[in-house]
Amino acid sequence: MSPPLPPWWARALLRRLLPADEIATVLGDLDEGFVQRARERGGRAARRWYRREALAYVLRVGLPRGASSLGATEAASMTREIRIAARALRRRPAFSLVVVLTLAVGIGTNASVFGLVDAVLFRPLPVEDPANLIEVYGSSERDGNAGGMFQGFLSLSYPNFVDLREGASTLDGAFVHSQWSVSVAGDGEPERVEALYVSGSFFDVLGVSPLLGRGFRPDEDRQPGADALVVLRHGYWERRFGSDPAVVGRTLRVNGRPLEVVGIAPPGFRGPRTTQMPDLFIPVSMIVDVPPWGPLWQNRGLRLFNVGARIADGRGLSDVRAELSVLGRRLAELHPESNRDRGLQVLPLAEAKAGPNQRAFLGRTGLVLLSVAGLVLLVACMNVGNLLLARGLSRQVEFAIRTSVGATRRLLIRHLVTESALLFALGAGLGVGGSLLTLGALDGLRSPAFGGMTLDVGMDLRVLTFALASTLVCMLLFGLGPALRSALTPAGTLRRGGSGLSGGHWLRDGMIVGQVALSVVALTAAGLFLRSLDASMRIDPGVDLEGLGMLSVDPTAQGYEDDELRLFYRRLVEETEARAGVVSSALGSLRPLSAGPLRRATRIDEDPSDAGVGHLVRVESVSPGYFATLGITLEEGRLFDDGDRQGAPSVAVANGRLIELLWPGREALGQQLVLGLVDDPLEVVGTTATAKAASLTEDPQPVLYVPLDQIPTPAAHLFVRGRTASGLDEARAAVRTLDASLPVYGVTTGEGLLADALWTARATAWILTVFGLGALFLAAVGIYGVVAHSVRERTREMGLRIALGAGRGSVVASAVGRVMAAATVGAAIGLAAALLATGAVADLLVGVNPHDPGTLAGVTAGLLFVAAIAGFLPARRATRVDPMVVLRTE
Amino acid sequence: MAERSLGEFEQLVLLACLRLGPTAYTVSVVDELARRAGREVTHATVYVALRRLQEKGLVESTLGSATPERGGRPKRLFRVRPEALPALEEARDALLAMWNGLDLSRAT
Repeated sequence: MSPPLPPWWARALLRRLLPADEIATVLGDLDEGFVQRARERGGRAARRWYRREALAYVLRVGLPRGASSLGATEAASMTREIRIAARALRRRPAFSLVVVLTLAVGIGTNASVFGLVDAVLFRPLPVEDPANLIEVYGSSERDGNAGGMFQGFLSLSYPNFVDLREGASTLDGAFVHSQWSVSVAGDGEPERVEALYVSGSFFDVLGVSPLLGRGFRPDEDRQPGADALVVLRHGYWERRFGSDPAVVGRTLRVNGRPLEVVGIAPPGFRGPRTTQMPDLFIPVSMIVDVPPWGPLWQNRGLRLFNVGARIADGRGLSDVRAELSVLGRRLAELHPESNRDRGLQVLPLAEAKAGPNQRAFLGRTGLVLLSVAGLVLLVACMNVGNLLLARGLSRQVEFAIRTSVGATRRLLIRHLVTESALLFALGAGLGVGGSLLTLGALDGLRSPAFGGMTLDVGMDLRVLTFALASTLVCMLLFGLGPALRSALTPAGTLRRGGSGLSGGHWLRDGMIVGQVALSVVALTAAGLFLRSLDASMRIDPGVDLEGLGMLSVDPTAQGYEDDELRLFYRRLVEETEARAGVVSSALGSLRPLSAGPLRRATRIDEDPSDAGVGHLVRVESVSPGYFATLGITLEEGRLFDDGDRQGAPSVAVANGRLIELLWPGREALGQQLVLGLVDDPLEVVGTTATAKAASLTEDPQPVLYVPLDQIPTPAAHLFVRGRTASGLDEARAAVRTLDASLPVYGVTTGEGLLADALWTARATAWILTVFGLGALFLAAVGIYGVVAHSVRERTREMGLRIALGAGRGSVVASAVGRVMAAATVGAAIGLAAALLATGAVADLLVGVNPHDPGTLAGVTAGLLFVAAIAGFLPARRATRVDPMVVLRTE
Repeated sequence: MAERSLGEFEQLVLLACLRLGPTAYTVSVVDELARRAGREVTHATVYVALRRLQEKGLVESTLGSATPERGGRPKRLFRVRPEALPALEEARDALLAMWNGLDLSRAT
């Protein structure tokens, strides 16, 4: 066995950093120590010691030496270089400004987009060893697309979770998490916040230690209603309690129940989702306080929970998948009434953290945004490269003179590189500053998409590193090339008046081609998404949202229940309608154009406990006036009236799609169905057309309306239509009259609901438009710059031609002609690329053909027009030169 | 005597060199400091101290023999120069004078 050796890289490092005459003795000393320790404590300990010693030498000897060897002269000469470069840039302020701004735009937008996408998709959660964490979901053979976003990841019920936790040997610790809106009172205004109900083992499995106080203990989630504890999210503690450490130990009333604050979560921790920000963490046994499902939380058929777990040491993801697939089948056999045709599936937490059903969509959106931002950076850099090259070429005479009086090529290169570096540094600084502002503005933004996604973005080390790295790469690729190129002045340039080097033309034309191509792609994407947005805006939601007002109340959180609750709801509508200025008002349990919970509906002749029959439908509990207030017209039968209350026969109104699914081809009126596991069948007394339910772009969804009095929901939305205005003031006054302590939230209008439904489409379209216009601007500036310099180079030639009789027009035409040739080639390439790219995102577009010829043609024509103008202006300016002046300088 | 004033660690190093005599070099000084003064330090720390002492003219160095353990590399041996002794004595006297009569159990 060969003897252990010290790490080679440590020795190499020492050799580089130590003074030459000391290398041998120091290395010898270290060798001695190494051999001794290897003998006494083994090779690993010896290597560890050697590394420590080498590091000490590097820090105490090597670096100080390096720094001081830069010495006064070196430092001074570097400062001088920077000052010279700054002076050179100041002499051409317009040029420098354009370059810096161009770079700032490119780097800034890239950093901002990266920050956004990183926060949602990439950044690891602030938990211990995130790579070993997974989430477990149910899978179903049957419920294909139950609406919109759904990708087949089902929540699990609590008993299934317990079986999973006990039965999985490949997992070391598991927890549930389920987010609900709750009312919080005590120590301030009552408000509604999001609470995450979690297992006692939640913090332990994630490896998260609270900042203050403690987390939960593994046994603190067994007894329903027994563990009256809460942990606050750090940001919530700052906002509501001003970071007061004395909050720990105080009580908070959540949905009426006093909970003791036992801890504060560490800053930045917001649970296992990047798109949600719960303010409270509460043991799951307290979920009994959350109506309506809370009290039923231990029912095997009620799928309320997401499940997270840690993979056991020494096991891998495939082991877990194998074991859980077997476990899933066993559960299906043991509990066919709830688990039939259901299995278990596993996702690594890194993929689940943006929400498993949203991940595919968010991933694609993120990719589109990153691609476009990358394109813009590319365009910006190509521009800058172009400009630097052109400028370098136009300084050939200057360089030739300097070389002829003794400046070395190396010195010239150093000057040019310093200038480039300075420009890139300034551009990056400005860009990072801009992105800091942008990300700051986006932070905490609540998107109405996906039921309220909250962003947590900001400039952090990752974004900064990304920005600096991309700046460095761009500088190496686009900044140095032109610098080096223009310094390679061939001899004889001086004599020929500086017009010798013509090889640059290929490069410049190539850059025009590239930029035009990229701009075509970016603008096409923007154009298509704008048209998609427009089409989305013109989709008829099927309900009348204009002039509608809406606000939300949660009476059960205040203690209303059963008959009291029904009475409250009835009186609320009466009170609102009694007010002058209100045309009609109604209550509904779900927010229009927003996703809501789905329940299983089965025909009366089917067995509802058979998990293989029935369909998931959206159930809306509504007051009788709902249909009139929201403009939903009756097709057959009747709508609800005051007689449809508790105690009366259970009725329902179904929309067209529901009837298609449950009773295809048959008469719907009089049919009976069962909701969930409740035995009481409902009779269909009326039918309506199928309107948009959860989103504007969905396929037709089945919707069932039931009387609010018969199936009251714990919270409801009050809709109101006013004579002239939306009637919201009257609605608010009505709530206050009935119960002044009841918080009112979610106040919005019909227009607001529509805007929320379009939020993602609008955001995407506008972001792409900004990028596209930015790309266009950059391309235009680039073309202008290139033509300006190219024409400047050829001033003498142009002057001669004019003097010899050529019309000015033909001279301009030849310059523009060159540009148009390059631009046309670029446009052609861009069109091909755009066809490919847009085909890939076809399903994100609504109501527009991804290969829409109108958009493509419009973008191409627009770009060519801009290119022509950008080429024409500088060319025309150059031909204004007096040919006599030019000839005289020869 | 400003430029000859000795830091605490430099004193320890000098004393170690005096004790070790002709075999004083980085490795042996590190061992001696550990054994006698209970101070665990890295080679680099001693290296820097010895070089500083050399600049102050208080020690001088020669190249010593190579051994196979050292990969055939020589040692740099250090010897305390006579100029160092007054500085050491001065430092010791100052310290002893401050300690004289001080009873730590009743000091505060």
